[in-house]
Amino acid sequence: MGFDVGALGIAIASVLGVGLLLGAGIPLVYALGIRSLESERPGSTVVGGALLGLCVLLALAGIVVIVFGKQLFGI
Amino acid sequence: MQELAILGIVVIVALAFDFTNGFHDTANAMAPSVATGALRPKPAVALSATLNLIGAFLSIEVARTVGSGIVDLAGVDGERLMLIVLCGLTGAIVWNVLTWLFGLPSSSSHALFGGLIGATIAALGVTGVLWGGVAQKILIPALLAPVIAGLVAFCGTWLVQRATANLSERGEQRGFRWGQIGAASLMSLAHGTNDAQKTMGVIFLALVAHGSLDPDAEMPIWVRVVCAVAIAAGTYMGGWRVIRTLGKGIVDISPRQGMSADFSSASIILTSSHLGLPLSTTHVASGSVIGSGLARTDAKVRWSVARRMLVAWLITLPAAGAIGALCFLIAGLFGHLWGSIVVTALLIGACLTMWLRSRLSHVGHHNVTDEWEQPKKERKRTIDRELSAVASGVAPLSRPRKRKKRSRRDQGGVA
Repeated sequence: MGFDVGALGIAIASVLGVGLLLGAGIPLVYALGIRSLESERPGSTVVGGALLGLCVLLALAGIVVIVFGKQLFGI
Repeated sequence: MQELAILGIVVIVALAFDFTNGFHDTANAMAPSVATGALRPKPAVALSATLNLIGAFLSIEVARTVGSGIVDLAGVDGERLMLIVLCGLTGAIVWNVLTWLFGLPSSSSHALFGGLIGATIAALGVTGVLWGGVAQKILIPALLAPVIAGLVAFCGTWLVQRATANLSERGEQRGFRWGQIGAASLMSLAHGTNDAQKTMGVIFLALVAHGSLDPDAEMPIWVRVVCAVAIAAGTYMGGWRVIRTLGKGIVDISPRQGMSADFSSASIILTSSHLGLPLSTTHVASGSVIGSGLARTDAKVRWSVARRMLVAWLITLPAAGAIGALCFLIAGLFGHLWGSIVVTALLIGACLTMWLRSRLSHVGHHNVTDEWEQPKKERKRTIDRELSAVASGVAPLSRPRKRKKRSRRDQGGVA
């Protein structure tokens, strides 16, 4: 049984990269959305709603790419 | 006929493992939401069970990797191979139930791999294990999973805290509640895509050993359905002891933290499922909770609880392996069919004993969110009650003893 350090390294780097992008990115976008909704500036409700919608889209896109990526995009 | 009977036993025990995997790991997805009150305990486990059921149908990448590259079972005849799988599963179930009894979030995947390795060593010797594969697929991911999850959750929580530093408490509770529910749902879905696959892989291995399936065949749909249902049923049962430790024991979780921890875990598990990297969902979820706790300056991580958890992680592989090996040696005394029956009977007995022991200090949906650190007086009373229960075995719990002031007349023995 060979020990494929390269493949393991790539897998770990991918997990860390996607984790930081989605795992830390989506909560940040959501938090910005909540802050906008709380704010009393004009138009902040629309911005807040858009940011929360973006979170939902990002989460759905993440699921689609991760689960169906091979069939749909070959990744 | 004998082979078919052993196959039947293996499939049933594999589904029992899937069930314990579900109830042991409910905490991974739902502990933060239950702890912060974003979801009530019962609806939380119902939601998690439904999403685990759906998740089990989404991917079979992990199922292909279970067993392959870890143990070398080529050339082992059908009945013997099924017995190895059965003993491995027994080791995993016993370890899962034992750690649940102690409320420790340990890895079901490691218990499964440990059991298989132990049974293989007992059957074929150490040459039956592919140690390079063990290092690459189990040990290194086990070391890295909590670190990666902790790092991602730390970054997420830190960013969220900076972005919402001036948010009112009401705004935080209301705003992050839905974010937390969404993140926990994603995490449950991710758990279904990852953990249900492991049992599918084990049943597939047994079917190949029996000769019912070709090694290159597609995963039968009935295997996917029964595994999905078993893990969902286990999740719905709710492993309340582990939920309590993960949600209340390690750190007092705030809604912001809970959301960041859940998003971190979900993204890491979904990516690793996609890549066929069998990361332990427990290690990822625990790492996320600790990472999010470290990002907060106003919350302390209870390192004593984290240490206990770490010890459990370290001994999971050898402990499940030792039980798996012992089961194989016991089964060897009785032959293949009777050996399978005896091992299954021992498994049922062990699980029943641990379940009865758990009733002495019951943790359920009614008390899962109680504060971890009770007031001193109340804690003393609880300890008194538990000690008297242990001392008296099956006797009913006695009322906490109160030290009475003895009068002079009593001391002098005058009636």
